[in-house]
Amino acid sequence: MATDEQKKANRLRLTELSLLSLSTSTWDILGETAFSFSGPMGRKILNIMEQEMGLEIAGEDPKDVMMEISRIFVDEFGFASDIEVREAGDGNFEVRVRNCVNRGLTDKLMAAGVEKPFICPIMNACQAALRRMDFKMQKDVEKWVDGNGSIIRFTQV
Amino acid sequence: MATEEEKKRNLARINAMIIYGLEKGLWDLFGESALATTNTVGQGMLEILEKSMGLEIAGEDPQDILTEIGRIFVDEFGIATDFDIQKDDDDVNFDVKNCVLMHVEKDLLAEGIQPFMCPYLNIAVAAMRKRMGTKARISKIDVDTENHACALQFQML
Repeated sequence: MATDEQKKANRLRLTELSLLSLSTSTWDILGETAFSFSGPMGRKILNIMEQEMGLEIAGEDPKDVMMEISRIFVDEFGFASDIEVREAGDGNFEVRVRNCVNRGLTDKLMAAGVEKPFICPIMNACQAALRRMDFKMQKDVEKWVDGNGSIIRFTQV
Repeated sequence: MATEEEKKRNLARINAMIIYGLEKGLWDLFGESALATTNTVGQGMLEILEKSMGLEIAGEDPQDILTEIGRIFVDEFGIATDFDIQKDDDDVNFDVKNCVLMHVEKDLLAEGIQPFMCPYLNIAVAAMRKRMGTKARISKIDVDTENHACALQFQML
């Protein structure tokens, strides 16, 4: 019988496999339209952050909100070693995720034909927050090889 | 800042939220036809059980295979505290207690969505398909959230 630690590791593997298979199936069926699924995921994560981790959105500056979301992902979820939020001119933003815990999963998704990691929780939570603040922005995410993570870009529509 | 244990738990929650988002999205688009995605998911998960957990399919009695799947879920994954699975002619019935995915299922059920990504169903269907060469139809997903128990069934076609 597995130890508790082994069980946790096994469960994580199984969950990752569920994610990999389900995401790949979704992308196979929908292609880039799969991004339409990002909204419910992002809103759910945002709700948890607001209810349990003190995230405030109303009346706050969008960069400050994304920085706080990023801090929560690092400090409360251990999702990355560091996440930097930069203003990229013209009201656009860039989020640099270093040493992302899902880098391996994302590489597997890309190898399976999923061109964009539409399930990225950081991208989806940030976009849900921007939408709540009435910022209509397009999102894009690319691999950041040097940072072992991703660069997420939000550009004004 | 969260402890390492809390981070692991929060990370598991993030993955559960992503799975929720994907299931909801597919169900909203396709309704019950979304169940078709479970074939790919189940196959992938079954491979892990065969390669890493010693599950044997070829030449084994179907009930023995199902019983072993149940044992692996409890002893190696700790996904549930109790798991009983019985094959009755073409019907395969599961009784699962205290599944760790119960909160995802609760959220899906609250939206009128059948939790079709249930790993037990998916893996067992894949195993029976491999062993007996027949297709299967998921016929029951009853989730008793108050008593943390699930009654599941699929039918061999």
